[in-house]
Amino acid sequence: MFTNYVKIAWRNLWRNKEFSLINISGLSFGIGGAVLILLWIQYERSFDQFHEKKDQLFEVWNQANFNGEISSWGYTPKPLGPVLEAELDEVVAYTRYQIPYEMLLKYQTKGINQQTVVIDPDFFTMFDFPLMMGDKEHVFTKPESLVLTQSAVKRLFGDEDPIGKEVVLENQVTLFVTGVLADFPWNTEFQFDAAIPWALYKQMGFEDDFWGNNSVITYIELHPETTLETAAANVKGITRKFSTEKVDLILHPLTIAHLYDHYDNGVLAEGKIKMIKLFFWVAILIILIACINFMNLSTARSEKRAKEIGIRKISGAGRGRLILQFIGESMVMTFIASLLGLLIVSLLIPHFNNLMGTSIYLPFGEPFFWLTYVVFILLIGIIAGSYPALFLSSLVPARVLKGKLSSPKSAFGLRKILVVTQFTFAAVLIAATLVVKFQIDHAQNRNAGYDRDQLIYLMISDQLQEKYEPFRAELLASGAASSITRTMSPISETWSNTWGMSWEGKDPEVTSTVDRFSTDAELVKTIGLTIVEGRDIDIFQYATDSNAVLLNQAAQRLMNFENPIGQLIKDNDKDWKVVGVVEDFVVNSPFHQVKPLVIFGPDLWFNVFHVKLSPANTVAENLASIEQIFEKYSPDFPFDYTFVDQDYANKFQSEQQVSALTLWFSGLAIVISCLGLFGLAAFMAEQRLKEISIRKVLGASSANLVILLTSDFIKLVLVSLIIGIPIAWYAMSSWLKNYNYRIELGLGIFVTVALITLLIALLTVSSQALKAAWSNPINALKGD
Amino acid sequence: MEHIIKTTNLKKLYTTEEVETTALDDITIEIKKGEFVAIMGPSGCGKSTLLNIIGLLDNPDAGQYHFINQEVANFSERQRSQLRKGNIGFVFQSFNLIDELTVFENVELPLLYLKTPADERKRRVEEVLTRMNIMHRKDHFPQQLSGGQQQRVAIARAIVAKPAVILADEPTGNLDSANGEEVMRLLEELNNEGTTIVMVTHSPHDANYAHRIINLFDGKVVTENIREQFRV
Repeated sequence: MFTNYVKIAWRNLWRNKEFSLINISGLSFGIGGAVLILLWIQYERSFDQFHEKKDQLFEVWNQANFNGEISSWGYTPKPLGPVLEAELDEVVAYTRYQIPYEMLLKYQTKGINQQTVVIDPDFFTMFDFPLMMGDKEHVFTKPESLVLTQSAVKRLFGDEDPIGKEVVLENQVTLFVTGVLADFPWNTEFQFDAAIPWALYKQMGFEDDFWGNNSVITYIELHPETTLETAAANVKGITRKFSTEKVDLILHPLTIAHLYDHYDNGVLAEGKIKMIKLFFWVAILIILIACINFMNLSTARSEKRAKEIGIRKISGAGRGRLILQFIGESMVMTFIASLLGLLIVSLLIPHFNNLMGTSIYLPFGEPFFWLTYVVFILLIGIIAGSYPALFLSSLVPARVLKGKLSSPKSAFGLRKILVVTQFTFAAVLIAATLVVKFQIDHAQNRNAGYDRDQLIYLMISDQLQEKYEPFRAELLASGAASSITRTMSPISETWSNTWGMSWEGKDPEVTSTVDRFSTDAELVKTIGLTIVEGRDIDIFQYATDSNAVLLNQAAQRLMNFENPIGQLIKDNDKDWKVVGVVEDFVVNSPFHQVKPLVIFGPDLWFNVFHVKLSPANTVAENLASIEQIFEKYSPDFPFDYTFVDQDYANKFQSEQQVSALTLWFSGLAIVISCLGLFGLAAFMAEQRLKEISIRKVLGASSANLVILLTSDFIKLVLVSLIIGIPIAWYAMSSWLKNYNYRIELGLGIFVTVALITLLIALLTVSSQALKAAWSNPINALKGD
Repeated sequence: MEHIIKTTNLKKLYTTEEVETTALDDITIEIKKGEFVAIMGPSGCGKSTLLNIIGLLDNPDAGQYHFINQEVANFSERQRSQLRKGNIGFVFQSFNLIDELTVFENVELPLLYLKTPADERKRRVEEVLTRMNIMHRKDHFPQQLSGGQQQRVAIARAIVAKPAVILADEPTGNLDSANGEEVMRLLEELNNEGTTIVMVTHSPHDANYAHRIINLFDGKVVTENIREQFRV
């Protein structure tokens, strides 16, 4: 019996090549798209799930109430880790984690910058990162220890055995390689090249016990028999106990850290998981659209199958047998589609990884993958085959054998609903694609308030810090730079903020966060800011400018200064004098309002210098001259520069990923929907060939006929739009709420969506309608 | 002889949106085991409706129907399907072969649904194909055969499960006279071997093969003629 089913399924498939092609390609695209999304979801969900103690590992987060709003953040003070371990029995291990920072590692004459972290010794026992050389308990026994990853070893030592070798860190201390870590898997948040012990950091004088300085991530390991509730309750008040900071502590599980990265007013909020959930539904939608195609086309062809069903019934087939047969047929199609789907996925994966910065792959070697895939395919086969099977097996043999189909109208009714459903999805996805694109364009076209062109920045090495003034003078004299300024951080980000700043007239009850930035001179000229009032800071011209500050307009508004020049601001127990106000410019996210920013004079620290390249020479000439001077003053450090415009462009990366993903998958959904519509239109045209011929003989023009044939479908698409547009409006309004600086959802966008959807449907259907309208009427009427 | 088919006051109505048509009106007939009965009458008199009910493809709206000593008038589709299997063979005017299956596979179909073992199936299909003189075409598809050949395949399919009754709906309607004659002779032969045959026909010539002719008009039995040589 089974072979009989497969046989007839195969022959049917072969005999109706056009329908089979549409059905199978629709299903293949659907399966391919969904598998890609599911692989990606699996990838994102697998982050840091491989640590044996993962359920005992937590990040410690701060939580504080600012003006009635609870803020939560993952950076903590340096003394927190040791205090937690000492105070609480349930904390069995801790490590502080100073996020990776480029540091110069030098072996003999070879020096390279490597992403280096500062950690406590427990790091190696808490997390499951295998050591290829050295042993977990002892790698950090001495402060002068260095652990490298395999790749870093390769870069620094080539094939030499690294253990015990001397490496000079930042030209300051000599360390000994004590361990080699296996390169990190892709699914962990921890990614660095080198690690140094906290004890060394302390020796170098970088440690502080200031509870107000939140600069490291603190991980703790809880005792296996501790409940999370007890631990959380005991951890909560530690900061208040040891300091005057009005801050509570919470435990953020490592297992969710990748997907949940922030709290809204004290409540765990959806981070990356939000996008994952969204695309999970997109995957389901795509599969459903593909299944709907299958159902539509199969039932549309029921008339052709009716005779066979009648014969099978009078030959003794019960309904159950027939249902099995049709499910079987859909399984055959789904099986073929599943193979093509895998092919599509393997072709798309490299582009997807490139786009998303992921490392997903098809795990062909894993039995679990195949098991899941088979279940997935069976499920799709059953869903796609269910309605056709129920419908076809219900046909009454006495009628169908006489050539009368029981009720084609009712089947068309359901087909209408299915087409409407598909195009509703399509309209929503088209709207999403447009809105995401417009929103990104909106932010990209935003005036950043400064000139990113020909602007580079470099880190200031210790060597350069010492001889900065002669370096600056030589650089300006070389003609390669039109201007140069030292700052705390690159212009595209701020590295420091505070709620401890005060000024005259400040309400002591209100906590306000202000971002910090710094400059020595010529910030306005180098970056291309606009002065609204007063002047730029310039330590080389005004010796008193070491404690001068500039405000941006947002800061001026916050401080409520009518005449800002000359006002005093207190920060870190020091007085600063306002010398100027600059127009607001975009420092952090281009999707948000500009925050209050205070730019401090040289009494604050510098990490970076920006250079505006001279327009007189080519970029390459300028860079060559700058490199020469740089190497003269900072011979031990590599010349690593960054273009600010690239940095700025990176700010759009995550939104651009969303945009590309929506484009990919809405494109896919539309293609599948159109395939289905195309098939259905072809079928309807065939079905109505006799009617068309009679109308034609009676004098209908081709145009009349095309309108007749397309209008049914266009009506359906209009219904889809009526349902889809409100859904799209609701969904996209809530997405836009994530952004302060956003577009308004006007009528125009939705009119565009409607036009695009209609046009796509019209193009799909009209070719079939034209074909039918242009056919010779005699051919259809003769056989009757 | 005991009856195999017995209907009492059968009624069947067809209702469309506005009109109600009486297709069968108080039909009471009896068909004995081994009989060859022809049902005749003008188009629309209810012949096919009656055959569908006799063939358990449809239920009557009122009245009783005894088939092989069971009251089946109110059987569900599932029960009817079970009873049809192996008990009734159908032959149609338009042959009704499945285009996607070969001659052999078409004939095999009823045995598949009866779950007959494969070797037994092969033996029986080949037996009937040989008997119908179509064995040499067993791997062909229906469209590759002439009308007469297709009808012989259809008869082979109808008898392969050795049913008690064969219902034939104008079996020669689409055939030329020579092929029609051959089909009728085959049916007669089957009847001589003991199979009950009920045949709907327009053709007085074909009706001559039957023992008895039931004439329908407007859904009613008007006359029943028992041909001379079969009078008891």
